[in-house]
Amino acid sequence: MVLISTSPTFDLRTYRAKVEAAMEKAILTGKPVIFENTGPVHAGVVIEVMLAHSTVSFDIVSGCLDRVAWEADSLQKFLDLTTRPKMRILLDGLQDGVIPDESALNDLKQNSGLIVKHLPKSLVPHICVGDRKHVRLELKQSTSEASVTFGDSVTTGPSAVRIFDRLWDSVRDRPALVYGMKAAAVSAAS
Amino acid sequence: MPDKSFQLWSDPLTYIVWVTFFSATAILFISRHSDFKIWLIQRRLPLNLLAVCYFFAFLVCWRSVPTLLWLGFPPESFQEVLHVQGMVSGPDLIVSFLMISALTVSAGFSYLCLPTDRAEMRLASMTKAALFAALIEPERYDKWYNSIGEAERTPLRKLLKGLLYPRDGLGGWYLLGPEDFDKAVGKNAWKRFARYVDGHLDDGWIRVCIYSLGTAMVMGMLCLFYRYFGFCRWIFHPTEFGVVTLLVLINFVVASLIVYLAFGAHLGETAIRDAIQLAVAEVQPAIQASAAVRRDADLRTLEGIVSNLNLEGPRQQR
Repeated sequence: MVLISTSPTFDLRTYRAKVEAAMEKAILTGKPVIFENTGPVHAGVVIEVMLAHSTVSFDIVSGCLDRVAWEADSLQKFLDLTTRPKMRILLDGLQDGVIPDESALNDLKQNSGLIVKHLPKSLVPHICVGDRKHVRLELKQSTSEASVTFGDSVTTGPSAVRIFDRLWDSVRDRPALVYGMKAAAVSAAS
Repeated sequence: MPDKSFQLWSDPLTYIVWVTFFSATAILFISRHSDFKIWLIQRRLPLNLLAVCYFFAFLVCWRSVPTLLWLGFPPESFQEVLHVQGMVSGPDLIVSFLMISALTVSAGFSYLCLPTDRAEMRLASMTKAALFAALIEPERYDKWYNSIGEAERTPLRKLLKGLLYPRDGLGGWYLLGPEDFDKAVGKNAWKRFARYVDGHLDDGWIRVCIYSLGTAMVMGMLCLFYRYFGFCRWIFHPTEFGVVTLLVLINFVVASLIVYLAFGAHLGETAIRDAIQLAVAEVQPAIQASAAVRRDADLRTLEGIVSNLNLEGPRQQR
């Protein structure tokens, strides 16, 4: 088993490759891969890989979908898949229900598969679930410290979706937020 | 009896040799670390040894002739000190060799035996890369290591911890001790590891090391040539050729020693690299299991938070 690259340095591209390899291993073997993930940049890498390997659904609880961790291109690519995926987003860090400028939502095109809602109470743990089997659970937002599970459609995935569904149901009556270019334009006009 | 030491001491070439060695060493030390004071404090023991080495070399250089006279060597042996060309005496040659050897050994000691920042960084970086490659973040490893009991801290786990947070370039040694280090790493790695230097880990530094020592020796040899033969007169003098051959041989032996140490350290590095691989392979399942336990606990925490979440606050207008 070769664990060490010939180069002593370890850059983000290598980290991304390792995360992708972990995802592929989870998918190919059918066995979940678990690891821990810290920092917004590494969080971004994990989220990007999760988005790239999800085709049906993606559920997110986030503060405002900050651009540091959430890349609009990856989100848009997922939404543009021909499989017509569904994405549900709950934002718990909004001031007066307004999407802030730093949100990646401002860079997205309107899409019928995407529904964004405001969770009026701040939820300390944040979570995202891809295809009911890839889960990133962030318990410390200050350090983006999270546990990541790839390919667990038996226990972790369904548990996380069940938690998300309960949250989603609790805001069922609330209106969906306006996002994307239009929201940015409204914000600029106001 | 004339005071020969005065002549030796007043020789400008002696000053050149000493000033060059002192300043070159000081510049190299200072240039190696941004926080020089802390670096100096952390390495006070090897630096003190180096200072002692210099002191003895200085003493030998300064007081050698009177001492040898006191021991009963005839004053005629020191004619060459008076720059009589073509006369080489055994005692004076020994004195000069001692001076050069002391300086060379101390310079070599400073490069070969001092634990170095570069070795620290290199090992820490290598360990971090290995952990990252196994999708273990170093900070998480640190937390996990601190959370486990002493009984679970195997030599390999200690080694990883030590290499991540090295002290004085000694990596996992301060957690393990030399014997345990050798047990954990094998291949007699501790002895090799203890010889770790910049140059052993980086081709650029080994060139600097050899170049510095080479320059020092050439300088010393030039001093000798000047003192005994006048510059380069030895080339044309058949009886003095043997002396030069001897000097070249000494040079060769020292260079061989450097190569030997470098090669040993290279083997040490390879052994440590293997040990890091083993250690990461050993800790990976344990850390994954720990992460799974933590994740399940986090999910339960989240479930509890969501169950108790009261969303009956002011609702947005449709």
